[in-house]
Amino acid sequence: MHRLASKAIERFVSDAYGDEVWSEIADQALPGEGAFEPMILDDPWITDAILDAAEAKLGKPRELILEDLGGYLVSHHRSEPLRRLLRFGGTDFRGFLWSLEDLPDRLRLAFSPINVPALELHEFGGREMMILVEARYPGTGFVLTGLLRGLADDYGALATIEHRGNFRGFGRVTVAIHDPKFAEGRPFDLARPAATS
Amino acid sequence: MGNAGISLGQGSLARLLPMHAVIGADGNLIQAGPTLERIAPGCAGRPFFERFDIRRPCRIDSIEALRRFAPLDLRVRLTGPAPLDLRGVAVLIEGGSRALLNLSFGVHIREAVSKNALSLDDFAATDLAVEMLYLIEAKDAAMAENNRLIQRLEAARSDAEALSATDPLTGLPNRRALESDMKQLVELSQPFAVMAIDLDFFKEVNDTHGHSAGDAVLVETAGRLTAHLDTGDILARIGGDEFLAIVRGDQSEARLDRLARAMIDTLKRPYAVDDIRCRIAASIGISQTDGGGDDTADDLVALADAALYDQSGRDAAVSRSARAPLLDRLSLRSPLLEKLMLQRPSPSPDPSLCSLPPPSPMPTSISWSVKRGGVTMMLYSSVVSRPALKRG
Repeated sequence: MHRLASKAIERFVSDAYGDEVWSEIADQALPGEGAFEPMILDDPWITDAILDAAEAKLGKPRELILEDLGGYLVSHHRSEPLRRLLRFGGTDFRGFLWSLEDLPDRLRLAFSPINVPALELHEFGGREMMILVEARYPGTGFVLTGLLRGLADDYGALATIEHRGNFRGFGRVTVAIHDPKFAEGRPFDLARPAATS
Repeated sequence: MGNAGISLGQGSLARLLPMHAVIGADGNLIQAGPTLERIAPGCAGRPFFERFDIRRPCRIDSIEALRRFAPLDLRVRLTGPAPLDLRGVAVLIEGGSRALLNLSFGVHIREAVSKNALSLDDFAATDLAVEMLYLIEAKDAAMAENNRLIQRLEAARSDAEALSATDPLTGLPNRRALESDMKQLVELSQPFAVMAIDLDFFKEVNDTHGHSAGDAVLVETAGRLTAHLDTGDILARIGGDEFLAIVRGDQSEARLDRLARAMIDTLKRPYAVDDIRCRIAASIGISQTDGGGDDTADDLVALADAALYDQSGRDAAVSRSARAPLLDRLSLRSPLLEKLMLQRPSPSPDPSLCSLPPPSPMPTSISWSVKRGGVTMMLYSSVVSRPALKRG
């Protein structure tokens, strides 16, 4: 999972801030490594080192960087495959949220060695729900927050989504759907457009 | 048991089995599920066998035949403008007067979804088709990412190869490594000799027996040559069939002469590659420095090469013009050499400059050498009678 996280950060920083910014961060995080291959290097400290360097370079706290990363993962055309996989979860945003608890198993079905944090969805009868996400890495909840905001837009739902801090090893994210059909949202065809790869 | 049946409304059936078809006693499709209606618009109310072709387990083209065989598993082809192969199950209902078919896309799910613009709602929640599509997409995404990784690794590998110091076939140092070692020796004013070793008839081995045989010969050549060198000496493969040896220390001419002859002899021994026996020969050119001159590493290699190429025709009467470009190049560095190169090993060589070994039975080698100042130049060549290749 760490290598995926590092890779995701690489993509995000390169696409959002440019390759130059990314190579400065990579040099800072892993001085003297030469070519940086996030798909191979798989140590938790590497992800941390990258985030430290990114905080310094981008002048933002890592919580914000991780939220932006979550949003990037479902909105940028380069991560279209991930957006599509998530949209398989349901026909509307609420259906998608219901499918969240299946997500780790779904991902394991597809990429067997992957270790996805466990997710739990709690509904309290009102408009608001709470998602608990296993946060062995403390930033997990922030990535999920950004990702859910991106998906709410994708489905065209009007929702407020907030990170409420970590508690006993779980990140807590609240979701309140105000209008599930607020906007048109982005189209999703079950059949993948031929051009996407 | 037979009358413990249930009845289902059309809506419930549509929800449970969105790809069902009910075929009436007259063979007409009297009821189609919403997804079936989507992939075969207008099929309801028309004769079932007009659009659907039951191909397996046997050709069934009438309701009578279907009644005779049901219940059974089917392979069905939807005919028409967008043909599609489907899997299905047929059972009899309503006392056997009608047939109920449930169809699915099977392995053609991806094609079906894209041809008919199906959505999540077109599948029953129990249908694994959506999970199947999910897996297909996940697999494609993972493979695309893997391919990108492989491309990056391949680029890194070829960069590393360019920077590497080893010839991957023989495991010997390559030209790059050798040059850096030689530069170091020159900087330290160490005496050493450079032997340029060129295999003869190697191309014929490759052409006759293939590249894997050629590779095996090169590997064995590396071993045979190494056996004649001391620990501090260096043997490198610098090209296809070109080797270069650095013999360290202030070697006597006699010792280098013996070494070159021993190397040539060892390479002339037949090679056994699988069940093939083949022979090659070798030419060796030598240059030597006592560490005192100001020849660079490049000069020493050029001198050894000059010694080598001068005899590459294995003909003592190499024409002057053919040698001219080489002389032009070398004369800039070594006036001595120019003099030497113009001294032909002739039928009556000047004994102070050149010495030819006494005639001996074929195959044999010829050599000549000169020593003045810091550089000695010697040329050796094995002379073998063609054909050099024999099948063993």
